[in-house]
Amino acid sequence: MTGQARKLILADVTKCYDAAGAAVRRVLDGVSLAVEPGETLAIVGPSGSGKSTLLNIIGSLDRPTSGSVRLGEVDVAALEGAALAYFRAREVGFVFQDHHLLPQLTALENVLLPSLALGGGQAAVGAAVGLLERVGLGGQAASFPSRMSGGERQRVAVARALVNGPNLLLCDEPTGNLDREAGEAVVSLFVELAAERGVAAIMVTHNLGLAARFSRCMELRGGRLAVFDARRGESA
Amino acid sequence: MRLSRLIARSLAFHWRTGPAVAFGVAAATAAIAGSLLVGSSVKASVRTQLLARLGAVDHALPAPWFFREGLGGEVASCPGVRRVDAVLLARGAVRNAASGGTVPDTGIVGVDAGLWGFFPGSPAESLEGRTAAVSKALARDLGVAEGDAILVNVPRKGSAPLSTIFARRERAEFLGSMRLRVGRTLDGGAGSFALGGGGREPRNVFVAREWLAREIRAEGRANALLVESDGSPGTGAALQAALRAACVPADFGLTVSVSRKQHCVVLRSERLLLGQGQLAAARQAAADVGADAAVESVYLANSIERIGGGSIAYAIVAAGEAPLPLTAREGTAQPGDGEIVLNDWAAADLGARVGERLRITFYVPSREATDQTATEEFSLAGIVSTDSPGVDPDVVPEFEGMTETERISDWKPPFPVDLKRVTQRDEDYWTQHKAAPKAFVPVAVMTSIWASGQPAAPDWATAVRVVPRAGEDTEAVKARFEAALAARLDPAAEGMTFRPVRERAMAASEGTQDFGMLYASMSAFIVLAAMGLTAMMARLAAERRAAEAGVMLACGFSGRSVAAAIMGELGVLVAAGAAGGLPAGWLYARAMLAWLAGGWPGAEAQPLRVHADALRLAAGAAAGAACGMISVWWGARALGRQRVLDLLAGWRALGAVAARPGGRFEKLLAIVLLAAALALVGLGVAGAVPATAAFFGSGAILLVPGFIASRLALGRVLASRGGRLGLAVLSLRSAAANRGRSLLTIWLFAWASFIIIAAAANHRDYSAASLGRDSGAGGFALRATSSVPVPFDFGTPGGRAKLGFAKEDEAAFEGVRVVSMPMTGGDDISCASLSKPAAPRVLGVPEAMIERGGFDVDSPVRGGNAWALLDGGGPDEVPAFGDADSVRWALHSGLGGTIEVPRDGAPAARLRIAGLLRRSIFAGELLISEANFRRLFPREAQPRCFLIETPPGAEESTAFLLRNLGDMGLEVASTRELLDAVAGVQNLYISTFVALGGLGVLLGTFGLVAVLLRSAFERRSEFALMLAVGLGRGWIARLLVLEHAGLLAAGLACGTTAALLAVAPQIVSASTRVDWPLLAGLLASVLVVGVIASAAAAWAAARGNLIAALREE
Repeated sequence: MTGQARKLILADVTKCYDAAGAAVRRVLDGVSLAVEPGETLAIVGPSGSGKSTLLNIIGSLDRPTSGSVRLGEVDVAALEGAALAYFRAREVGFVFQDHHLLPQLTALENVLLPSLALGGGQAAVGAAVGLLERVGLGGQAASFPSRMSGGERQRVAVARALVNGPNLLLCDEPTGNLDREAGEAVVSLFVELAAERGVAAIMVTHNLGLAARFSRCMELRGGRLAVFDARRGESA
Repeated sequence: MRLSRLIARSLAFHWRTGPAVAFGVAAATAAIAGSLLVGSSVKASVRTQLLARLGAVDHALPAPWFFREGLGGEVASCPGVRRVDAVLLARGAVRNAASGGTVPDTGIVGVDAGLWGFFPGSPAESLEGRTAAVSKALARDLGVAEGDAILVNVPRKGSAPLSTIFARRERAEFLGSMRLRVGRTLDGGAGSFALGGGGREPRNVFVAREWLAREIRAEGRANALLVESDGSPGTGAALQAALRAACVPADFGLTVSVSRKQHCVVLRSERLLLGQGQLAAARQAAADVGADAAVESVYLANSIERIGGGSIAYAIVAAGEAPLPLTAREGTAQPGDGEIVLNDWAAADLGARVGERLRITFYVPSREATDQTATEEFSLAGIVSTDSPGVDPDVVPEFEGMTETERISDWKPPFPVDLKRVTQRDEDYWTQHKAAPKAFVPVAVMTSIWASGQPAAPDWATAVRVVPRAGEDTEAVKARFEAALAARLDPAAEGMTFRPVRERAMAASEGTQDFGMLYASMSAFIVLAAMGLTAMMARLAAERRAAEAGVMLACGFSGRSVAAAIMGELGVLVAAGAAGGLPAGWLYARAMLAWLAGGWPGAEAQPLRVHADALRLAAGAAAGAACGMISVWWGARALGRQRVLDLLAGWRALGAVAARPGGRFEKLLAIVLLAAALALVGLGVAGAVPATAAFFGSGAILLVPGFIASRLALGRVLASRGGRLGLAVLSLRSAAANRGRSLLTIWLFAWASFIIIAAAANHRDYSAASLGRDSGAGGFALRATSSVPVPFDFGTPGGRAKLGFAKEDEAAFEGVRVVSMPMTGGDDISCASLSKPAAPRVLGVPEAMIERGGFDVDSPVRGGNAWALLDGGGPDEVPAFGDADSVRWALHSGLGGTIEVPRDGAPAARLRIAGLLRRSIFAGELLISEANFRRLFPREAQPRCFLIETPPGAEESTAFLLRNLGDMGLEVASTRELLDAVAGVQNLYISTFVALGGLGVLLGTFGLVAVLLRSAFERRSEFALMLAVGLGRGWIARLLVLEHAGLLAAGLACGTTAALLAVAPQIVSASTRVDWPLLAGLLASVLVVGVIASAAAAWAAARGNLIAALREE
């Protein structure tokens, strides 16, 4: 179900917030970025640096104040309504810090949830089962999130992000609520799956160890992106 | 996986929220469906009741006079007719012979075995002799059982109108009194037989028709036909046509005889006077047979006196439209203006000569029983031979107690005669010439004599002389004339019309008002509270799903799909609630009907039962579901406004957004409305605007600034920074953080308390009210109505004496004033009647009453006597007054509106509402002037309604004495009781409204409790944090109680303050009784329930391991 691989290009993206009685806060200040299909990118930075905001803008959950976000020929920031919903369903897979699994659905059903946005179908079930097996939870397809560990839940979330075969896999601090081992396992899975499927994967994290597993790492500081050497823990 | 599966999973997972949402919808559905069922059940119950009273009868002919009993058999062959039965119907009074207890207005029904055939299940055996069957209701009222004796008083068939001196009016003569034995009591079926009208269950006594006919001197006669048809259309018209073909003159009380002396045919009436329609028919019939018709009239002169000496006693005086066949002995045979002609017998007795002045004296009818006389003077213009054909006893109608006697000394007329004045020569004349006229006057004089003492010109003709052509056989002409007359007489014009009684009953069962809508409006609080509950629970459910919605949106679901998923889930709950509400609606309807039936004014409970109506239930379910969907949409709509990221942040973030502190517009609006409320109060106090309207308006207006103030206050709390953080501030912050929910709570309870108090303040009670001339009682202490005309005016000593009051009672009548009014036998139009009035009852207001004025009248007249509006009116429309509430709610009309009152045999009378009486004793009828009444309803011109003014403190003694007339069908009630009875319906509605409102408020309170419990559990981590920072569980409980009790108290305070201002005039009024303890208890209980619920929620939320809750975060 993977669509045609497309390149992600951010050009001069800024994001400002109005604060009542205070000066405008510029979170992103002319961020430009290009990510090739199959490339994995980690974005690091201190808390409040705007990592999640950048990720949300890339994933069309938020809009830039200025600048453009394009995935292939699609101007993401210009999408509205049904087109926006279709874009999210078709092109983006999101893994949140909090797994956000629906507690009333089984693991398999949670994985299948995005497929409903595209009409569902038996093919989606097959893909979901395959993904669950791939993330090592083939035996827990019928389990509810309440019966799963944090790492397992997050792995289900990764599978859910991939079920519609997106071109862009976004991950926001996926290990924040996990212990180190579980966190590493999830990130490894994330990177492997992105590579397997030729998907551009971007993760924001403040864990340099995890960031080092990505093919490229950038630091967001002062609203701008800069190349970062995660292994050395310093800007390149 | 499909969306439906997601919905199913969500329903199962969030099962705790589901029942609360479904419960709210079920409550709304129950209230709506139950209310609609009340409407259909009232209709169906009334219909069942009215149809049960008719049995299989679908057409009926209640005639104003007695026709041949065989007439029924002659119309029975009419197409479509299955069964016809002739009965005698009368109204009378029935007394328990042992205890003396009397029921004044009772149906006395003379029946044969045929009647029982209309009522399947009734005992078919015939009644005989003095054996009577009585309805169970009457047996209960009288306290009699089978075998007991009862005394029945029923008016006899008289031979002259009560308005003439020739009618028997004295109690013993007017009423036939019969002692009967109760052979059987009839429960329902025939026992409740009645041809129309709703109201209380009919009281009937059934006796053998032949026996009753004998007792009331109507042998061989009946006065009503009952018909069962096959229901085919046009049966009524066919019956009427058959009736016209079958009727003979005798069926109209007309007799056709041959005068031997004049060799002519004479038409007379058993009712003494011939009506205008009968005269016209007679003229046409005479022309049909080639004869001449001459209208004549006679009257009894007490004396004919020769001025200057000599008189004769008790002589018949005659007049004719055409010259009478008289042979002059002296002077002229035909009197001119101011002239009189005597027969030679009378002239000889008087020693009178042509040219001399004569004076005749005659009785003038008087309800005061003053034996009033009048005189007319004439010049003797001629003396005619006693042998003249025109001196004919056969043209004189039957004067009861006179014409049938052999001698004058045997006379027993209904007026006083001094038989000492009767000479032997008078007796000789009677022996030879019977009642042959002794004197002849111009016809104009005769009409004025008949009109003496009458408020309107009455009929005056007593005979029509049909003179055959020379040589024709009189008997043959008589037969031909009879046939021609029968063809010319129209039964409908004579008041003999077949009424489609079943069709009318069906129409009447439509009711005066739509009880469904009435109860739906009274249940509005329950519906609103249920909707509020549903919305609150839906909002909680939606908030709970905020993160889910965020995930779905992030996964590519459109907003519409997410909404569809959530609304689908809530929709299932709504559908379940709507379905579950239906049985509850049935129970609700049952409870409402029991309340309505039990609380209906009067001792008798209305037999109201729930009639399941699938359409109404479906409508109720649909309306409940619609309310539910609106509520859940309202509750869930907050999700649609949120950004994906906010949704992903979770439901706790929702609502905790600093609201705008409040715009200038809102503040300005609040100030303007506050000023308007104060100005309105000022206008009310100054009298520029009716105080009730001014205060209610200002109170209602005051609510809005109250709402704005609460909204601004909550906004301000959240917007404020700094200040000392304490329990109060935290509770306020919590309330403000959920501003929508908090405002909804305040508004709901404010409106509820406002409406409940405002409604309760209109509870009327006249027991201590001053009933002056400008009140709804018009200054009258008593009102009496009689089922039969009362022949004398009991407002005068003479009338009372004739009616049997003792002389020693006269002192008790000192200062008592009676206004007598004619009244039609139409339908009660008051709100106390559940059936729709087909022909509103009408009262004729005498001129004296119009001049007197009084009552509280809403009319275009300012500063004058509004009653003068009743004078006037043309042939098309007459002015009328009506009770404001009855006109509005029962007749659905108003000032300037026109009401049509059907009349038998005549076009409907059009009554234009010229004035509305506020809360009056005339709730059951419309009022027109007596002059218009006599013109429109000439057959019902005898007074049957009496307003009685008594000196202060004499009400009870007067009522006690007047109840002696109970055996004449007189029912006496104090105007205070009547006003209370009328107010009783209103009070019942008000108490229903207050009770339902209270229920709604309690439901709202429980809704709040549910929300509170839910939110308390949702806030467990917040509480855990409080515990973690060292605040105790008691502190948390106080916080919750303070927050929620504060919202309740704010709502109640806002509503109560506004309501107290709105109803200030009613609070100080003597005719209003507010059950303050009940009201205060109701509102206090709401507050107490709220506080207890808050405490319980706090206790439930604060117990358990809160630190674990914190860790879960």
